[in-house]
Amino acid sequence: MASYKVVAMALVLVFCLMVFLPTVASAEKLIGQLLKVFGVGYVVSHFGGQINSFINNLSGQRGVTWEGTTKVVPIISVGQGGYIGAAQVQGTPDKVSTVKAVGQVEATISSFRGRLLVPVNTTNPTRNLTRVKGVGVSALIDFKI
Amino acid sequence: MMKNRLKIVLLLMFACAALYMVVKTPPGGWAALVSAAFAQDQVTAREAVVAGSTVGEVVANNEVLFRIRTSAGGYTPLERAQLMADRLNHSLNTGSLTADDITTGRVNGQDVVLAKGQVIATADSAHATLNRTTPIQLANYWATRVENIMVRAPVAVAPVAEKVVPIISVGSGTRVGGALVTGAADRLKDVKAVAQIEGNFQSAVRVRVLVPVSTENVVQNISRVPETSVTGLVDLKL
Repeated sequence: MASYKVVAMALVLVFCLMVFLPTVASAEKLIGQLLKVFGVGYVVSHFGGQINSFINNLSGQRGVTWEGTTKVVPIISVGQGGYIGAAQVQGTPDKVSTVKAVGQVEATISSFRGRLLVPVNTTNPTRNLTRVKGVGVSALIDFKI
Repeated sequence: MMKNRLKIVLLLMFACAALYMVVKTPPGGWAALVSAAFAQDQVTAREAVVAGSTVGEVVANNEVLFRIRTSAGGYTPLERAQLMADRLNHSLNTGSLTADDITTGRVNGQDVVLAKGQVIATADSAHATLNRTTPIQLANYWATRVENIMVRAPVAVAPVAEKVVPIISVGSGTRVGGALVTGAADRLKDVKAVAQIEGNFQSAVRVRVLVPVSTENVVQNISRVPETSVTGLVDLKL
């Protein structure tokens, strides 16, 4: 039974690749197509390094440098679950290496909406989230779908 | 007669031994050598599992100095960590370390951390890549850790504070929202705004770099406040 599921998933994957990838006209559209098919997590895991370098170059052009190291991780909604974007985090290499995601907690007070961004050690919002101290958010990444 | 001769021989032997000990006194005295021989190692190595991988850790004062993730030269990560711990203990046994004793340099074409001129750790390219940095930067980082953990007296941790400041777009100079900034209290008082630098990566990705700055005039001058970072966003519902 399990093998049928694997085969079915593989067929769906091949179908998606056949339908979407040939329509990709350029590398610029590739990320958008991959977002639609595979989601934010996939794009972050495969393009995170390039996006991180792009952000560091963008900051460097304005004379902004960060101590330690940086990396791009997905933003997960702690209340609802799921990936809702990505963020670049910054800190010492040993601490940044333990960050797997940024947890977003939302709260609304009167007409203000607050979004707390907490670097955490897991991408699974249902597990115990542990904050990684000494790491901050240095950039936010929005995906156009 | 025989007893007197024996006494003279014994006295001569004691005198020779005393003279030898005076002439050959080691640095720090004999007491230091004896205590060093019986002292427990200040630096130790241990095996740990980090992100599913088995690594070797060099530990001093209950803090990890280096984390060795790869094998090299026929040594496992744990064996490499043990070698580094042994080298540091050897340096400590010849006298306490000062900040000037910890340096970086290049040996055999590789960036290394040195204690009293002796190689302690090699910042190889594999570890630099794993830490997303360069070998020379990794060597400097490791040297700073050795200094902070083993040489300098523990520094009191500055109280952490947070405050909300406006986000100002670098391109237009307009206020585009609010940000919660966290950091050391003495640094945080310098933060006046968060500068937002915008860019597009391959058209499909919009990037907003958020930089805590010490002035609201971010169009002409972006002066980042170190040791502070954004931990939240505040939007106004329209």
